[in-house]
Amino acid sequence: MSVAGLPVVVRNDALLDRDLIRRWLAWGFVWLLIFPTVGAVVAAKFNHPEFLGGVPWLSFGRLRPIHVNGVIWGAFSTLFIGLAHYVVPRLCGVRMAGARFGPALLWIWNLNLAAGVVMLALGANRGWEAGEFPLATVLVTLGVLLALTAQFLLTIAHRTEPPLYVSLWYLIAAFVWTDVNLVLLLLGPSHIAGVNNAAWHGLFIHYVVGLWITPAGYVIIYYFLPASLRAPLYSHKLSLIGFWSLAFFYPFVGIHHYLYAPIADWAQTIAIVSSMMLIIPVWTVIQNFFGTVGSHWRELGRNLPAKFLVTGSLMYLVGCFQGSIEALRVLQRPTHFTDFVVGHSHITIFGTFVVWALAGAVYVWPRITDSSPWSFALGNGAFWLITAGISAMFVVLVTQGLLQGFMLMGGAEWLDSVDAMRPWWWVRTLTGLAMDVGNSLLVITLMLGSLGARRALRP
Amino acid sequence: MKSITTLAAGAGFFFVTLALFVQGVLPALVPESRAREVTRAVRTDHGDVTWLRYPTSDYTALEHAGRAVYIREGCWYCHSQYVRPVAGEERRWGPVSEPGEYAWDLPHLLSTRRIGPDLSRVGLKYGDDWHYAHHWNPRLTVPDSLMPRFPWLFVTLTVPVRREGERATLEVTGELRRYFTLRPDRPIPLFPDAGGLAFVRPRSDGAFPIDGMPTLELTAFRSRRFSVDSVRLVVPGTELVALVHYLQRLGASRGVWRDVFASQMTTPPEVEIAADAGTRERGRAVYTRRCAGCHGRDGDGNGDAATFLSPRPRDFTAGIFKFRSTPSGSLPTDGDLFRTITRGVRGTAMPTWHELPADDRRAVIAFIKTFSMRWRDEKPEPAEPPAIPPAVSATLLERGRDVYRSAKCWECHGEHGRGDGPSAEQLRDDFEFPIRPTDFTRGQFKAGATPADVFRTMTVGLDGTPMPSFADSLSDDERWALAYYVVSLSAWTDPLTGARLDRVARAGKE
Repeated sequence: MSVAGLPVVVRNDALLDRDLIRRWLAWGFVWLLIFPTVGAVVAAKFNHPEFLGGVPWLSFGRLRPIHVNGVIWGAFSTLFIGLAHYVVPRLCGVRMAGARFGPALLWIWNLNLAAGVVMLALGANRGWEAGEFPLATVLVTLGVLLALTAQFLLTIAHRTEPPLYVSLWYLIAAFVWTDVNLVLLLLGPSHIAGVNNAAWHGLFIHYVVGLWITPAGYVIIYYFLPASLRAPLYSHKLSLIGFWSLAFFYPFVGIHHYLYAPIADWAQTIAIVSSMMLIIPVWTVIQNFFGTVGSHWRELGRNLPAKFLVTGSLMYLVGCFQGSIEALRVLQRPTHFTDFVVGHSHITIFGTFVVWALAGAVYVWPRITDSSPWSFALGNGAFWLITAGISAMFVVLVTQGLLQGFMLMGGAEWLDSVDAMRPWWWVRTLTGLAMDVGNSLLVITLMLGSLGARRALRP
Repeated sequence: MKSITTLAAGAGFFFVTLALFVQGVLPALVPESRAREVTRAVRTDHGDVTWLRYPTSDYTALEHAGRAVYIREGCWYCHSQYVRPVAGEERRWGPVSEPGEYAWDLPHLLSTRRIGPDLSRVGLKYGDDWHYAHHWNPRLTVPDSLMPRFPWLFVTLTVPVRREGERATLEVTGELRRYFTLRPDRPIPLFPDAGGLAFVRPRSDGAFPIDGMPTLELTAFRSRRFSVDSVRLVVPGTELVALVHYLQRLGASRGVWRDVFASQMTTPPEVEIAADAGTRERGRAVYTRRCAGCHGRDGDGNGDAATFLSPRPRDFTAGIFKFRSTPSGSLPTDGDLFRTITRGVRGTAMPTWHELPADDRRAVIAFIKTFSMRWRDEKPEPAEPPAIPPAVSATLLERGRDVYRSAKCWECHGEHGRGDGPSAEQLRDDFEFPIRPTDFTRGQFKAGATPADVFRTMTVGLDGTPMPSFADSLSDDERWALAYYVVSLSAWTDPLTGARLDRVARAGKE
């Protein structure tokens, strides 16, 4: 019980570098407002190819990597790193090690990201999906991550609270794995030619989602779910199973991005089997989350962070079940190159992980700014816009993926199958806009709250 | 408790390392994954097609440059480059991908999404002109396309027009001097559209200046007035030329697979296509979506993309058709049109339409026949009966070479069949557009690549072009010999050694 109840027990805010956390989160908000919205712009081009057309840096091919990398490294990761600065000292009972480097890392991270995005707009592109940033940007990202890894590891090593809460395992794993993965990104696009380059890219891209975003998301929810509900974690043993099964199966799934490519069949089969096995970590963590919610369902209504976390978990259940069966050859045949896959990436990356990060931000921001959200109604409206948006987007993308996939299997002419997507793309853009507006409202209510609090403090 | 930290960090390293080894290193150790050989369809001296294993070669400098543009502009977000062995892709795109095709790809461009078509087999599906038009504005050639425009890959010059009576000439501006040598003895014919847009064919290396004097030709306007004060010259920039070189290379390592691609093989149906109003209406819808961009809404060959294209799109209002089984001067049969639509016209902007439902193809034929009165007043003459090909032999090919000389094929097609004969530069078609004789060594035959196809072309001619019918001047035997000879000009030779296919080895296999 003492272990499970940890996040609630330790509440020594004096350990926190509140300014630093606030700045990380504020940058995260900036990226959250920009990069998901770029996606809506890109989506609009499906129906209106002339929309912002004819300008190189506004073209589909330049904006798409900005959206993808921006959401991963900007919106999600920046918020996550900010939240990690909140979670780690509290769980360890000590201040962050190497705290004096904190502000420098913050600025390097964000300016590097901004510079990378400008480079993408100017046409830099390394040709690996979700790894398009120029080499220099990757190097700096890796440098910052290594520094953060060292900071967090040292902090954990110096901790005064002996038990190592599950969030911290995932945090260690996420940083260590991603340091390795970024080395892979440094080398991958320019080494190992041919079809093997695709195999390595498959590994890389799934390490981004499986070994960075997923464990990082777990850091957030394992801490903030018990914290926001003021309830102990359901089962510490389950989190053990979840962690080790994730660590064992996730590294093997990458090649499922290139099934039916001329990569060795056995390697494809291993990827498919591991993808199915991912059901184990996913369902164990889900069981843990819903077990934790337990009898608190009725309190969720006005508990915004918990509400976001639980919704994200539902999305996770759906998205990951889809992700696993999507790797099966029988489903690959129709869906491989379609929006079915895009549906999966949106419901997981946004519906789950960005939503969890939002939950963390909604929990932390008022506490480190000594404020409360400006309007619960606004925040709640944001919640419903986001939830409705991503749910509808998922349904639309999955449907159109199956539709186009089976049309093509039935021998439809290519352009006819594209044409049939147009109405769906329309709705998809609208759902994206709903999410973007939701994000904005959430940021607005948090910012208005904290600005109001600051004004009230002034003599 | 420190041991748990160490364990977690250690596990992180261990599992990832294990996975990288099993899923990254091991597959790369499989020899097949590093193979450079692919199965390649090659044409034999005897005019048939066989498959052999042959190594792929690295991209040329220009193709590499084009590939870099392909990566930079994110073409690969919407265009995949692999044909899967499932979901009927083999019938849609072409042969299933092999590892050797990717041997020179760094980074790989397999891609994970198809918003546009797969491109691993796009090489030589369209002529270069089509790609230039498509990159200027994809909706010129494909009205339903949702691809972005790429105007920044072009050089555009606005040049004032000077008029002297009926003639219109370009004012020589500083800009024009920069991009053209302006040699008066080398006119570069440009065919502006009514809006004043005129496409300029780039140099094959994409560099500048282009040698010659851009000259406005108003042939396409016929009786209509050309009334703009300035024209906008559109020249593909070096990067775009490189990109198109890269695109045309895609799938080329698989050789002449298109000539044995089952999906576009058709035996012209004997039955005539119903000419009821319903079919024609369906045909109109197909035409508007698929054909009007080049052939024009009114079927006069003046579609929005026409300024880019050479040869010009067919003018259906004239009712003259190149590819027929019927005698010279006759209308083609429905089967002839069906074949042309299904397999496309190789080397030109006319792609293969084998993906289009056969009913759509039939309906659009019914509609095309509404453009010219000829279809109401005349009937296609009966097709030439199919001739029986002789047994192929070295003697036959030698005889073909003799006929090639004596029938003066070389005057247009050149001594070695490269389409560079003495009169090649001056040829014009019946519509007064410049036309190039076919380069037989490239192996891209507009009317089909089998000796029987070439025989048919020699027998009935290509109406509307300088290619006449030789039905009267050459005997069946002579035309057969010539057909086999012409096809053998594009027979496969080893690019490294220059050796021809080992006939003995093949004979042994058979």
